Amino acid sequence: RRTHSRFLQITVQFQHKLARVLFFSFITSVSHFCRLFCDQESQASRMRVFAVSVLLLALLAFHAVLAQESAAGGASPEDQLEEEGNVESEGAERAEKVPTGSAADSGAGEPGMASDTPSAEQQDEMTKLQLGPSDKVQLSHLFLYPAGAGQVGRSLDLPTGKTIRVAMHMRNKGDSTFHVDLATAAFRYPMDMSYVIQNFSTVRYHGQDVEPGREASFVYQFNTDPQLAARSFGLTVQLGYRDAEGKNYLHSAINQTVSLFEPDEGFDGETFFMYIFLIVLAALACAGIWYLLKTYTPAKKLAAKSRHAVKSSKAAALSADSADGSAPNNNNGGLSPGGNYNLEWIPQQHLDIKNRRAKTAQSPRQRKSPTKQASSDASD
Amino acid sequence: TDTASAMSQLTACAFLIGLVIFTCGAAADSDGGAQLIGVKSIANNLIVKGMDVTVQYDIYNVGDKAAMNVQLEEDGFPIDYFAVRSGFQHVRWTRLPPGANVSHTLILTPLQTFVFNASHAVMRYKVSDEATGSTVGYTTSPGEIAVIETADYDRQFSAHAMDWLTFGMMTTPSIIIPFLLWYASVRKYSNLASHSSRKNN
Repeated sequence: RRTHSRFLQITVQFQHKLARVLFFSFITSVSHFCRLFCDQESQASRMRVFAVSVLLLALLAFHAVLAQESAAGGASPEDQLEEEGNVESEGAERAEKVPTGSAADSGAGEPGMASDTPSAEQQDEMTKLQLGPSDKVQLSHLFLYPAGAGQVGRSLDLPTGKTIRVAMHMRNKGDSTFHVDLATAAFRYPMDMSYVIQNFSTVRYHGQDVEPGREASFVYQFNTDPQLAARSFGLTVQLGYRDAEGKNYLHSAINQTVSLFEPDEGFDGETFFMYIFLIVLAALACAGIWYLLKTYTPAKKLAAKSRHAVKSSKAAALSADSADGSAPNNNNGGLSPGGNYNLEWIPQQHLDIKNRRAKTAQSPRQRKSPTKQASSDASD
Repeated sequence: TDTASAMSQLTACAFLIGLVIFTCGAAADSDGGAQLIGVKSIANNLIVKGMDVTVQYDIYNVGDKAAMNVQLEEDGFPIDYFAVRSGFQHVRWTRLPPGANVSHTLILTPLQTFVFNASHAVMRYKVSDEATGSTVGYTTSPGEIAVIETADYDRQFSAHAMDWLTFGMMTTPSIIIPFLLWYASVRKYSNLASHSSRKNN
């Protein structure tokens, strides 16, 4: 909401300037168009100029009117915000506490209890309440998780994304019973502890009695968001209690600057799967290189050429209808011309290319026997 | 001038003394003795009637001196609601040095199903060797705990062996009958095939 009000301020100021600029441009454009209009010679051109000028002027006028309206509307919150310490309730989004050092409504001991926008009456009440500590009560604390945080000689570092547990110890040095109601905590801006960044849940203790001279312990826990990475905050952990007369107190057990760090997790799923992905990419690259090498090595190139030659010779034999040469002369020791495969086990009728049935041959169902058909073809 | 100088000296002394007292008073705010924080927590996620509940007590000394004769008294578990399986309800440590902590565990069995308000335990200790009386402190309270029925726990967590056995028995017919039919037909046709092949050969 604070950023919203700033933005509103800025846009309102901008629109004031814009309105001024538009007004002057309006006047100059009017004079310019008048001159242009008068300079025109023919009726048609004059009409054209007139139409264009009317359109442009309409546009400018419209924008100027809009600017004026929003400027008028935005003037009141701007005035409101600029007045010192004046937080009249003009509606939910307008009544805000400007977080300056001299914020009039927050007293010296005022805790950051206002998470929502308070109305004027509530603000007055809170100023009157002035919840502070009682001098009959002495508080101390201990971090249960992370253990040993904030002890003498060690800075208070808290991990993000974890549940922080803190134990508070209260000693009643007065002579009347105190009733402990609640504990609450907040992350605040370290330079200005009245500005609350994050409020944590309030834990209720249901009026635990602490008699005079006695002590009591309370545990409070809160979760740090994992996205609050590597920042320093002002941490306040407060114990709320009331005395025998019913007067409320809010006493800070912890009120110091903490720095958040991202804990080092042992197993990071993201990194693990990234490594798997890289290994697979490397394997794929190796496979690709091996395939390329296999295809384009010199020995393989000759074999490819010979295979190509065999195919072309077969094609030539098919296209030609020659009565020449029943079986190919190039026996090649029982191997194919290219030397790739063994021809000896293939029946001769498949090797005699000229005996191959032409496309106009009958289907196998209609022929009587394969040998008879071959002889009839040979006679043709 | 004598009296004047004497007066000025007197006021200076008074001022210094006042300062000393003031600082002593300010320092005495921390009392300088032992301070014990007691944390009582229940280690179970689920508390089931007839199953063990583990109550853990941790006592930390955050003061400057050793706490002497530390006693932990737990009277918050009535005898007709909880049976003590292991551990003591009244424990004593002779000395707890500053910065140290001790743990104690108590294992109980709830005898009934109810909602129970687990309250604080009481610690008594002397803040230092030369202290006269004991200081009484309260540990933390776990709050309301609900003891659930054994049947509810079993429904969620047990092995359900009998349920699986019943399920197996109930689904057996719809598996066995088609299998038997198939097996009979396979045997019949494979017999036929072997007979015919023998005939041919």
